[in-house]
Amino acid sequence: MSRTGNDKTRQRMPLSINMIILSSFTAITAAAILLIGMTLYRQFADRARRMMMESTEQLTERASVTLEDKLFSMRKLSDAMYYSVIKDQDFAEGNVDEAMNLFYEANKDTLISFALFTPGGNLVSAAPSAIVKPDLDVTREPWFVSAQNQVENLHFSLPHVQNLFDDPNYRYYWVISLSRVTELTFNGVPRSGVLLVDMKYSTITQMLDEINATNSTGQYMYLTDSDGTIIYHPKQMQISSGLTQENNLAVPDYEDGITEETFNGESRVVITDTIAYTGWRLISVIPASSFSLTLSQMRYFVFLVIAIMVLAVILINRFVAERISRPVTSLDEAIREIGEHEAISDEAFRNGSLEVTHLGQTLQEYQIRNNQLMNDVVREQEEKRRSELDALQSQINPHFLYNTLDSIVWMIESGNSKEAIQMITQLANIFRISLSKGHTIIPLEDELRHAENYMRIQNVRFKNAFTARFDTDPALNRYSTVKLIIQPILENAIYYGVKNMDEDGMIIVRDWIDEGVLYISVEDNGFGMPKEVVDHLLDEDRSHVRSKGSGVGLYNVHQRIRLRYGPQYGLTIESEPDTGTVVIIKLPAIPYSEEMREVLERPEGRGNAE
Amino acid sequence: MKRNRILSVLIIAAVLLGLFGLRYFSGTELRDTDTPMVEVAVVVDDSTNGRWTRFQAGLEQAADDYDVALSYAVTPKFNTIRDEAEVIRSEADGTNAVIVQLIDTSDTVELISTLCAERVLGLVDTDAPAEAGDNFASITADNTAIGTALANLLKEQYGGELTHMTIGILYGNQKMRSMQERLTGFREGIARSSAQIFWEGSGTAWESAGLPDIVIALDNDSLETAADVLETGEKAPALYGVGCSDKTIYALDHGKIAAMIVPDEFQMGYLAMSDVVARINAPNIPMVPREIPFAVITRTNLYDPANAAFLFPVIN
Repeated sequence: MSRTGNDKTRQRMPLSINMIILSSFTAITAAAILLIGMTLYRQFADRARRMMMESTEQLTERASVTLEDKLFSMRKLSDAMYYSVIKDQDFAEGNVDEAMNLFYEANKDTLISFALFTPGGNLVSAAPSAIVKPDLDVTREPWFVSAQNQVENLHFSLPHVQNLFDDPNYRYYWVISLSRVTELTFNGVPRSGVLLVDMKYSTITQMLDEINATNSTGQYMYLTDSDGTIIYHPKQMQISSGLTQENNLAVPDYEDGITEETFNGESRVVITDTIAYTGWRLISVIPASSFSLTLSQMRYFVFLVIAIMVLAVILINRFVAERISRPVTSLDEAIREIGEHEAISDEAFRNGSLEVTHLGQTLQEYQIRNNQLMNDVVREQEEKRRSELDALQSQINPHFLYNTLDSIVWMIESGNSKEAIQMITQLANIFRISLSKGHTIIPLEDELRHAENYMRIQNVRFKNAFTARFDTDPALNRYSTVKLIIQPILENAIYYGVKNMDEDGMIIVRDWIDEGVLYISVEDNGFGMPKEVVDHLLDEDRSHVRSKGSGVGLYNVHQRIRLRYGPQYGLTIESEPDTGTVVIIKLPAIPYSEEMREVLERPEGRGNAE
Repeated sequence: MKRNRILSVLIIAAVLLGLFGLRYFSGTELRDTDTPMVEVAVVVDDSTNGRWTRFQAGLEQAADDYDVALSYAVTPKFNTIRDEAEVIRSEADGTNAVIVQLIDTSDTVELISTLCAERVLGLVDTDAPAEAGDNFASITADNTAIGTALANLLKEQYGGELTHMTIGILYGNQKMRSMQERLTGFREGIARSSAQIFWEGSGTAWESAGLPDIVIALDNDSLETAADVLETGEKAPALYGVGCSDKTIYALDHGKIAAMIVPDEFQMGYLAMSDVVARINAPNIPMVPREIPFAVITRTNLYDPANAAFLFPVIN
């Protein structure tokens, strides 16, 4: 049982149409924006990747061209030195020191030295002037051997520390040596020699360092010879110390262009270009992280745009949802606010869609029809109440008539014709007031007169066994009252109060107004009633109350007043055994006039006395 | 309506929160570029001495790679560890880490502990006593092995037994544990030969003790001094040692030094810097002492590409 209860409490609260539209639109639009954003981002990422590779390829080609230019200029320098200076010089007559120095001075930004050697390794000339290290066998130097092995070519060495001249300042230079076999003329006899141009290694490293420095995304460029031996690398020292590694040994296998490789668990793109004449390879490396890094700003931008669009969509959707749901909401609010017997107005659905207008009109028609039906039901109920009222009123007439006629019969039988005539006259008055031209509402004056007539009749009948006194305020005579409400109370006071008293019974009728309420009291000094009887005298079902009378008269009066004026009016009974009873009639204090009477007698006037 | 507003505000707040989160967690490239750099001070004895050239190159290369603001203190030759400690404290002030070489490792436990407590510490060329713990980076050569290698070099060059050969040892700063270990390694290595230790001393000890056949200099300064002072010639002692300065390389190149052992001080500088940076970025990772390699350099292999790479560092 408790589980069922919990399940019920867990039922979701129904969402408003506004909320459903807002959340649905937002979810669908956000999903669409995300999908489009991700698709565009992916396309952009692919394009950015292609562009990065293309731009790196172009950069590599440009660097390659620049490097070729530098190496070409070195070759041109070597050519110029050889063909313009050395070849024209007979070394038996002089040397080329001056010319070599001139060349050196003109190119010392990129050069360490010029040197010319005989085939035996003896220095012929050098610039700048320097002393060859003692005990140095030049012929065993790799650049010398290369030149001698292929006399027709110019040979670029790998970077190395120059091991040639003595520098007392303990300085050592990294150089790239360009060596070639030359023809040296001695006394007109040509002999071979070796020309060495030592180029500053820093010429290449600075150029490539500058290129690498411009890249902040992890890309870099390095240079190897045709065998993959590193000539330049931004982390050259770390590599030679074993602190990091490079995939340079794979380079000889790569064709010029773009190659994808995986090295140390990282996939990367390498772009290779071969340097003319030397066969060196210039390699640009784009690690996968480099693409990611380049796109990270873009990724953030895409998310930012998506977020802004989602926010905008939320705001727009709110507006749209309100616009769409407003007619339905208005209709709903109109339905909530309409009162009983009302129908929704045209305003509630005037600006709505076709469906909402149709729904509103249908609802309006239904409510009008329903109200008509309700009015019919109310009218029928009113008729029923009226019939009931009439039935209650008609219960009095036979009762009273029977008693009065009984008295008259008794008078006639006892020969009191004069009194009988008087009583009949008073009875006539009573009936005249009772009829009151069919009116239900009469002035208090008439009602009191009716009561007085009745008491006179009863006095005659009971041979003045009790006294009736009317302490009424003449100023209240023109207030409205329901007719025939005092007489049943007097009747009860007589029959169940003072009739059988040994001493003189007294019945006092009073009236007064207090805070808009007209009070009429009927007080007797009769036998009174116990509280339990009093408490149930005005109940519809009085069968369980044991009392002398049936109480039908009091109940009828009470009901008539309440049906006419509402449940706050009616009778109040106070009684004590052997002391007496006070019955107070409580009516709205309404001044009597013909117009007011008509209003009060109308069905809709009932219950709204105040 | 009220629920709609609350929902809208919640969605907007969630989107903004997501954006901030994305920005926060999307990596350093999106973070402020003006984030303060890591600052590392380096204090070594006689910092302008040529022996530190390669070490300094390693430091600078690592500082460039790890985006570190390097402060290489210019220091004199310290007389006492107290003098050095003062300089260390002064230079380390305001930095994230300090890399030091201690000239005296006999009573430095407290100094090392204090430095460790204040900031990340890297010790180079300093065999710290075991009591100092291991809460610091320690990068040094295997000095015992260097001593042994030097002995083996002599045996190799003099035919194994070193018969009738006398050896003078310039042992450098024996307050340093590293020098003690080199001496121990050399003694143990030479003990199995017939060579005689003629004397052990510092500076120009041969002037008072006489010239042996072979002079061994266990540190760069002693080697430089010996190369400067000792005459070359047939009767001159052969000079061997441990060095790494341009001057010792030049002396080797010109035959004043027969052979020498060169620790890879570029690597020592690079690793010292990378280790302290790693410690700064991840304070909880344990620090492992590192040993740097060394090479035996002779006049004939001086220009071999492999040796040239660390004897003549190319700094990008």
